[in-house]
Amino acid sequence: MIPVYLALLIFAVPVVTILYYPIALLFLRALGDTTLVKLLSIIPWEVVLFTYSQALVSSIGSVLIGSFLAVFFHETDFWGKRYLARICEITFFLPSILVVLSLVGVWGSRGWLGRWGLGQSLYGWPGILLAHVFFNFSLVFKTVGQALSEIDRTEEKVALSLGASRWYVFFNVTWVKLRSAVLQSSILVFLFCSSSFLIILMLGGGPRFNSLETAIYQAVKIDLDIPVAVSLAVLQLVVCFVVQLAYKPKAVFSKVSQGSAQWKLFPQQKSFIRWALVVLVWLTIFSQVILPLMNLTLSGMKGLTTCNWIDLGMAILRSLDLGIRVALVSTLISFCAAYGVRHSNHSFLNAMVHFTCTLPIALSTMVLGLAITIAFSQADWLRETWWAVVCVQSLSVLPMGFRIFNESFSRIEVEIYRTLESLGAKKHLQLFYFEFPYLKKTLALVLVTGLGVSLGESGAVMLFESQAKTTLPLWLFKLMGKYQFEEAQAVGVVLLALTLIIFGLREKWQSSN
Amino acid sequence: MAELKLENIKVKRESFNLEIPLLCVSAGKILGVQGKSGSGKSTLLNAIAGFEPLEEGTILFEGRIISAMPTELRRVAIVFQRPALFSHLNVLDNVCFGLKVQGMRLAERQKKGRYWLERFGLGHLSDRFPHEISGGEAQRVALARSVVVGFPVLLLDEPFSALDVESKVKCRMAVKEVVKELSLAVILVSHDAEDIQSLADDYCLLELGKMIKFDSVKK
Repeated sequence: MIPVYLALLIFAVPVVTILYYPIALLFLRALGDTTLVKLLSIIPWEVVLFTYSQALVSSIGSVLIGSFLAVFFHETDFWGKRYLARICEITFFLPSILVVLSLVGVWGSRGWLGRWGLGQSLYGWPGILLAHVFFNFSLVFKTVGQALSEIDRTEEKVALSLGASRWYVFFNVTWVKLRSAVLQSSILVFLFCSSSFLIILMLGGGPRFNSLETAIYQAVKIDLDIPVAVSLAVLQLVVCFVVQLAYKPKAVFSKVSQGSAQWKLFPQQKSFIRWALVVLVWLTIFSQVILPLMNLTLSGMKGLTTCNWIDLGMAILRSLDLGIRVALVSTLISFCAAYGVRHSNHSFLNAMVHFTCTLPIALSTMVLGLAITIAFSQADWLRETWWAVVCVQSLSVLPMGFRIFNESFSRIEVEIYRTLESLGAKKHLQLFYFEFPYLKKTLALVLVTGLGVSLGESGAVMLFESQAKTTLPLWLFKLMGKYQFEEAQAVGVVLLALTLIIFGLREKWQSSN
Repeated sequence: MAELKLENIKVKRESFNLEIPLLCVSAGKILGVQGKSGSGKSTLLNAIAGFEPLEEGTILFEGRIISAMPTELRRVAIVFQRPALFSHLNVLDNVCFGLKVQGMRLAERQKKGRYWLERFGLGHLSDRFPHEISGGEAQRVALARSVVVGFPVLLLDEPFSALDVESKVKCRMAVKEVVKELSLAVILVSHDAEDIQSLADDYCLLELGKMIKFDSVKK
């Protein structure tokens, strides 16, 4: 059992140091400095109201569009479906700065459509909603699509044979099975939207559209008002934590009936409504996803000729440097957590590991960054080097990494371990001769996930910003701030290319995992 | 006399073709269908129920063409190997599902549902949910659900193959009683010769999508 305890120790030390300790200090600081009444009085409630109302509206939009598309793609065969589905899945992996840049390129005042007067109202509510829906609908699309593909369609067939109409079957049999997937994905989308930072900072267009995240950033970086930042962070943490308690990802395995993928509930007849829906879907995805990405690619390619290649190369190297560190740290922590859970028989300990690994979903990088800043205020080296950013980003990857490893570990049957034991393989030998080779694709998947998250993350990088830490998203943000859009698009296209490579690798390893 | 009739039907499924020149099942009779895996047994039932489109041919019931109708209008009930009970509904609501679809009032359909549950020896399970009952009980609930709607044709796709011996016997008895009482035209697909021998009046043998034998079970 020594390797198991060692793994749990390797997991526990960093999470206690960079997660629980800073969060505890954040709470102590919030309640230690002042009374609860005073704490509540310094909170700008209009910011709170805006944060959660935009998150709610964005979630509803994302859920409606994502669910509709998932059901439509599952039930209808049409030209280009496979490619459209891939494109829809990509948007969730795009860095938020790229989402902003590509939307501005189309709908901004100088954008492809904006110059014709179509994008005058991009800044404010429309831009924020558009970007959040663009960013998050694919999460719903993928989750609901996955749930649909896993449904055993025998029940729908039986219901039809009993005389129920197709729509009756959809709402009374199919939808019942999808509800959980829709609810779970909407909780995630709500959490992502309420902790969204860059989209609101850049598309909010002013103090009227200040969210908790941008207010924390402003309090820390501009007003240097740590008490306000702390109270906002605590509020954000508590709300997100309460919402996150409702998040219960579904069981790892579902039984898929053979041949169910081919059978469709709705007949594939050629009708006007079907044709009109296909055109609508094409138009929506084209205008909201393909066109912005096309704009970014074409404009960015043009901008590459005038770009400062040395600065660009340095930014790429810095991003990769940070990304590799995050990938390694997050893979190590999440592997140790999943390994510990697989082999430990302590239900309380396992529950704690599960809880710890899902906790970061409720924590934005801004809140985590602030907590680490307060906890290690004396440790200048931590904030001045990459390590503070690495800590924050690694914790952000932890829920995904743990889930991927946990799923892979769950696939290993008990009989295999018993066979290994009967062959004389102790835990450490099982780890090196069976588990590592078996999980090599999972390891690769978590590594690229960590790299991908780090490459696109900008909140923590901006919070611990310094000249030596100008990564691609940060540089892009600065260029956009200076209205140097051509150069920004050139940097954007490089970031897009890197993201797509990582997405491709991720998909490859995910499908073979 | 009421009769389910298949005339020159052809079903194409990727590289596989099912071709049946003529097949009739009279009301009150059970036709057993046997064959190896991939011989087209389930495809035949799926085509009759309307889950697989016909390339050619017609399916008639009482002289009326049903093959052009969508599944929900065919009045052909089906029971699969897996009971496929609606997991969000209790046993009684599962049995009453078809009656609810038909627009029957709550009290009336519950009365009817309870009657059929009693007939299948499941009256005590009416408030339970599918995950709270055994596989054999679930399969009998599935049978009750398909019988209660009063459709004249019943398709059974390996309904007993996942059951233990005791459950199998109970299910066979239930089917036998109901078919005679309601004068159902039944097609039973099974790879178990005992199922066919104990239940079917006639049987046919499929091989690679072709019907190679049709005979009376007694012979």
